[in-house]
Amino acid sequence: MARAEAPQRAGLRFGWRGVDPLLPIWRLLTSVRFALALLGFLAVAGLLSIVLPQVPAPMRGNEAAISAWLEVQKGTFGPFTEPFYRLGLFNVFSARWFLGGLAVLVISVCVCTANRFAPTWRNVTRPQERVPDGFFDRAATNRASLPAVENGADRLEATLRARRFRVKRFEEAGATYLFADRFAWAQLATFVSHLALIMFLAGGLISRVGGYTNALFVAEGTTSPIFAVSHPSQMQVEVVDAVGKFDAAGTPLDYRTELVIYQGGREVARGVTTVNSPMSYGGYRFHQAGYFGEGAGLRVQDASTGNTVYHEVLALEQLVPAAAIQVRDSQGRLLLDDVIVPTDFIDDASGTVITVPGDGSQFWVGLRPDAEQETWQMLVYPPDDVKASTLVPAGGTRSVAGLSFTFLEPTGLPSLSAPGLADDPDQSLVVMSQTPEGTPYLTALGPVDGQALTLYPEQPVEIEGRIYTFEGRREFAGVEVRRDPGVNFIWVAAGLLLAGLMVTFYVPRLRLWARVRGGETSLAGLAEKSGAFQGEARQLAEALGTQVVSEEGEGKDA
Amino acid sequence: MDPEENTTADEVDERPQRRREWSGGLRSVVLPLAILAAIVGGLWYWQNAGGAPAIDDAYGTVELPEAKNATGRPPVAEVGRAGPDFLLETPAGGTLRLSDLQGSPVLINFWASWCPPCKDEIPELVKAYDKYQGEGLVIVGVNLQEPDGAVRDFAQDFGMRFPIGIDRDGEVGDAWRLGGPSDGIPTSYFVDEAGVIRDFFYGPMTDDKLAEKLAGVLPEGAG
Repeated sequence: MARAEAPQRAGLRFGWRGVDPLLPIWRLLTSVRFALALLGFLAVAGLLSIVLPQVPAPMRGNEAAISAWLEVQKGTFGPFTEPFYRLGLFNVFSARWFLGGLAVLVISVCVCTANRFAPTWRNVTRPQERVPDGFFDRAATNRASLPAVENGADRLEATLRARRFRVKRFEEAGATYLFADRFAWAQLATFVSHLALIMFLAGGLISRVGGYTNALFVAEGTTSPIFAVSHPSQMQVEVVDAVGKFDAAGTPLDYRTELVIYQGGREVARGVTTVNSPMSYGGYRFHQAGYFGEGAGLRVQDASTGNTVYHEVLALEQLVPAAAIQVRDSQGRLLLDDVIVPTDFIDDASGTVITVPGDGSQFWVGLRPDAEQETWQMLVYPPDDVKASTLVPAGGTRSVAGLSFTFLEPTGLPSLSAPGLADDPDQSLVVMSQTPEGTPYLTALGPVDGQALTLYPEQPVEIEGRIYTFEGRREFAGVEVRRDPGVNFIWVAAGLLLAGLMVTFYVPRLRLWARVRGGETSLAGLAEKSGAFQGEARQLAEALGTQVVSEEGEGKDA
Repeated sequence: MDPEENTTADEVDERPQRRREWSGGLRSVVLPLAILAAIVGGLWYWQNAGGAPAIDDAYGTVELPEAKNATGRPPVAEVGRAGPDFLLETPAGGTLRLSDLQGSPVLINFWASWCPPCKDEIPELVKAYDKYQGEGLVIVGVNLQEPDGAVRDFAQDFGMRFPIGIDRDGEVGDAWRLGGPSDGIPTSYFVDEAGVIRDFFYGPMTDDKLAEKLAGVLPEGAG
């Protein structure tokens, strides 16, 4: 009985001339061929997503970025690039045709599962308690015979009940019939597993449709929106404190960020996010995704009005080459031990004029690559005599004008070209260094022609009508904002699947029909688990103080 | 007892999982889908419980009084049409309604403190306001969805003495079609004394561009 379309029950009906318009839909959704076609369709889609390049996640929603990405793909796909993109072949898992196919699969599985429920429920709650006599002899199923024992029917019934069977007894034509059912409810576990499958699919679908990911890079003391421009669910993420801990070798030990979330103009959440423990609010998770320690807060004010005209926390992501040097006098006394911040960029050399403390003499000190562009050399000369240049290799010491210059090592100082700071963006550069005592300071090139501004924390410098203030070193946090509305579905589905499988495998249903007639007890049964019937028959025989005399079916040799 | 189920076959059907049973459209199709929808809906609600705080519906885009609509056509953010009216909270707790400003040329600037181009532009707006305030110019800064404190601090820092309203849920920004093709801010609209949009600009304006655009709404000879 592979298919039993029962007569329509009385009750609410609709349709035209008695034909229910949902019937063809139901036939389609419960068709095995249709299910296989759907699975094949989704499998091909998955294959396409592997074979064809997919638009990187961060670019999605950004038309300019996608346009640039498509330009690159034109080298491979030529005139097909645009049609492929329009068809969603470069974005398979977000394409409407894929999501539609997945949704139909979910609906199909759901309808199939629900439609199996009624017959299965009947089978559990109203099982077939009577079978014809032929079932004990001819049915291709599990069966066994036991020799006659005294009070066989009563003792068998008692034994079955003791073995946790639900037993029904019938008397007919000199024979006693018993029906015994154990763990009938376990058959419903299949629906738990099916429900889990639906939940997995629904979870994936919902994540695709309602999921959101955005990566923020936020400086301490600043906020960033989680959506570009305006959005009904817009939130502002403020980084109160970004912390990066490192060991002596510079290996990161821990990153954590204290966050405040604002929505609708007020604070709605506050907490700490770490790599392993994201902060959550309103269905969004705020993951610690990065850390950058070389930021500098810089404010410029109009000196006449006091109005701020420039205020940024600059992420000094570039490195400018600089020389770590020591200068000693003829007696070997250490006069200078510092990293030289370059302010002059001449051809391939970068350096600055330094005044040697305690001596007062000035030199241009900088770096340039060697002829092979493989190593850095230090260049030292009196400011007005470039021809008297002395080259010092890394680790080397040279004497210049009675002083000993040691080039300890080349290093990189965090820097950034800050276009908003100077009229000519090409001429602006901000470099952060620190004094031998560890105090950070900022060197700004560009705002004032021909001068490098050196700014120490919270010590404003007024020049040419502007007040420049270095507000100190600031750290940045990389925060990944993620909303995955399907994640709870997946968790619930995983739990349901586990529960369903455990019941299916470890709580097998067993049904026995027994006929006690004359000198023989015949047993026939249906077992969900291979060998369960034979094992049960032997244990029943043992409990009755006898042995199975004949048996058929799976596991008879078990 | 159902005879078909219980007594007629030698073979007991041991494959109930292969049965399917048409029980009418409601039971066989609608009911399963309703159950699925209930489960998905329930979990969705659970996922989103405790979401966004309620925002006062009184604020945002409001109906433009007919008497204040010089065009007689529905307001829309297009040149030659009356701009959509709005009522917003100010960072100080007051209110700001666009239509109340009719009679003055208005520059509506959508901005946010996290937006670098906005920060580049705001000093120019501050200068323009100082320069043209005497000519009746009103600049309205519409901040996008930031906390009051952040807006207040920023406005004070940059010397923004013109009226500022906070678009709490982004509805006003949507009504005013921010960003155009670049989908971003700053965006500025130039509205004449009758409340009709005369010009707009996407992106940060230099002082020259700002002066050029303002000339379209300011009285002749202003500045």
